[in-house]
Amino acid sequence: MRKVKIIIAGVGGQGVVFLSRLLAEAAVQAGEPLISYESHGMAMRGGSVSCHLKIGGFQSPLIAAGEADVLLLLATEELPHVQHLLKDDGRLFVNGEEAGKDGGKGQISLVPASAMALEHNLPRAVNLIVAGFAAAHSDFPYSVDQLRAALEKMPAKETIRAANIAALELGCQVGL
Amino acid sequence: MNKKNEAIYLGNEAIARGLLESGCGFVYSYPGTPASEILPSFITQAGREGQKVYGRWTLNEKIAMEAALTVAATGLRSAAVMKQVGLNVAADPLMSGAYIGVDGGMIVVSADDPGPYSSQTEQDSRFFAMLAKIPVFDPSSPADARTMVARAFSLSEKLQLPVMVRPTSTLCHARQNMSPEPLPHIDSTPRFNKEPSRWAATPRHRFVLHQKLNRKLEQIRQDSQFSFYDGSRDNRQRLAIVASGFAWSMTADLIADNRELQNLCCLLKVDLPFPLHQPSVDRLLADFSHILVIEETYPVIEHQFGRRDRVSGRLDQLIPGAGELTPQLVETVIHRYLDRLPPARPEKATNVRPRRPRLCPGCPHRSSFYALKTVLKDGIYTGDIGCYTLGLNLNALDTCLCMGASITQASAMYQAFANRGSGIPPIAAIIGDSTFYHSGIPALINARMENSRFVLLLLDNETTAMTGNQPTPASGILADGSQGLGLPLEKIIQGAGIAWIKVVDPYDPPRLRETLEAAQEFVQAEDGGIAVVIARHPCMMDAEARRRARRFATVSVTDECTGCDTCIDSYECPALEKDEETDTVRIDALTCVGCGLCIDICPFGAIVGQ
Repeated sequence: MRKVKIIIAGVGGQGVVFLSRLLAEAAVQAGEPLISYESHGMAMRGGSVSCHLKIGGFQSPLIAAGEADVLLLLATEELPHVQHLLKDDGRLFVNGEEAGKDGGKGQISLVPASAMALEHNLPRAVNLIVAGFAAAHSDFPYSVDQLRAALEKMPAKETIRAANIAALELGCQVGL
Repeated sequence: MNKKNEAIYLGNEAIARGLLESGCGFVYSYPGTPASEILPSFITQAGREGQKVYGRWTLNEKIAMEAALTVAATGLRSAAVMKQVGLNVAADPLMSGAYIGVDGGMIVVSADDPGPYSSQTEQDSRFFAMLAKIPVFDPSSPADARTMVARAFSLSEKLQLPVMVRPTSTLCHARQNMSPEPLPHIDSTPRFNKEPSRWAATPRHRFVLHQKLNRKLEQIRQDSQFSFYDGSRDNRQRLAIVASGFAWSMTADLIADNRELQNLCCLLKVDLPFPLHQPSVDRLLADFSHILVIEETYPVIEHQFGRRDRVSGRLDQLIPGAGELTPQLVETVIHRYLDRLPPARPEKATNVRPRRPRLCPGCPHRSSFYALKTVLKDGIYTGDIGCYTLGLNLNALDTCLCMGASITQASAMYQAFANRGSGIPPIAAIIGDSTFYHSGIPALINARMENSRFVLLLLDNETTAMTGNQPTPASGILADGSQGLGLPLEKIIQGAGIAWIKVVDPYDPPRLRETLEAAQEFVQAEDGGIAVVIARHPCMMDAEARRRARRFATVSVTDECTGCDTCIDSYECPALEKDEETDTVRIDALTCVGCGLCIDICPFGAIVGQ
């Protein structure tokens, strides 16, 4: 059984928690045991939000410093809060135009998801643009097809689902 | 491949699943992070599977506890669900209910918040269980919580005793995959056996009930289903680690990853931290000279070992006495105890603070706070519990004690200054609608009785916003969406004898300011008293309210901006951002809801709406 540890971080309202649920659904569809954690409460009011996901038979969802394989970052300013969690050779997928000053650890790929979201009138789907972008890379644990299947399984209004799938595919095209 | 039915459950959904699978038909709760999702999930899952259940939000946790105890007195299974500080409110019925006991199974879910993240304290509900003398389960994962709810019901019914299940916030908000069981058919009917020496016990009978309760606890203390050490030990292991709940999960993952620790440490999981299984304690003390206890948040298990010389944990300060446990902290503690250096790990950046929470874009409270500090300048603002505690950020809230305290604090501030001061500053109490229903009503009656004088600013967003927008008693909408009998705030306030009441929309700042001025005039008038201003506007978490908030297609900042930061500092809308390059303010179009309330804040008229 493969073991993968993923961190998703951003600020309240960006859909960090939704993304963690999406990856959890993808894990279930792949038949992989999963345990994840999402910060709640005050985070909903625009504060820092982060989710930990551990795939492959763990007891606790919390990831210790230096152990995350993958980091999905929806807001670059959140990097200092989660960077220490990443492995030295970890993989980062970041919503941003340029690498932050503190960058340096791990292999980073950038996608200007906020600008793309505005341009394509998908203002609430920054999260899925980043997810689609990441999933286009072979070193991300799930493929775009797996994420699309998970989106289709999750309950949502049809219009929102369509926007989410469009954003996923938009991100994927940039990532390919 | 995907196992049949397998689905992902949030910890709180798993607890709800456990309630339903145990045939529990009655759940009472007051919303509070981290326990808020349990009742809605109980109702939703039941509805989806055609199970008829009764789930209700109550005005406060005391009512939830009383109702659940009473339903259980008729032989039915029930639960009271709350966060840890809610248990303080429900303490009175719990203490008494432990003596009286139950007929049907009754469990108390009290969710703790180590950290704390979203609470006034990080108190340990397991200590509360110990004080009440009821058993408490400490689940280690969502799946474990679901199983423990079922075990708690069996134990409760067998011993006719309320039983607590204590999750922590990380567990409540963890997700895990599991395969649900079909829901049982509930065929029990209520019957109330009159037994005054029990249900209406006088002090003489209470003594007898107390003795009976002690016997029940002794029985549990010897019950082998709660054994956590059977005496089988690997001789290389020189340290026993006793852990429960989420602390056990973290420790288990850590040891699974570290062969050296596996050889040295024997990790034991306690399901029931109180009362602790006595034979396990005795065997452990016989087999190991060193025992380390890892638990959250207070030393409940550790206290019960009673051997300070051989047991380490929080009491000898090996583990810090405050704050949440983290995998790194647990790792450091174990290594320090074994006189070893913990593995090197990257340090968290210390020079950055997490982004602080703030009121939502377009939040009507922001406008109310701004008007309050403008009109009641240099006043004392006694605050309360809810989103609006964030009025702190705006320097428009000075206190936060507990649910409903704002009104009594305003009253007592007034009396302190009126009786002993040389002048009375402007005083305002700030309370949300749901908190007012929870425990503000008796406080208001009391304040009026004392003839206190202050402005009561009631922030009415017609919902319980902080915890996920549960309906309030104003609408009378019940937890399952059905219609009960509503009671508007104004009627209650009138009923409390308050004559000066005005309702105003905070989206109309000039009127709000005028109203607050008039309120303060009344407070200071010769025949004045308490003036109540109800600032009523729907919460922005509501999509329709957000749509209606858009009074401008775009709100933007012109070249007139001098970068004085007045808007950011005194209004703190998340859409207002500082552009570090130009040293001016800009408005983030993705975040802005187009309410334009910030337009009037700019001293240079640089914010414009189109």
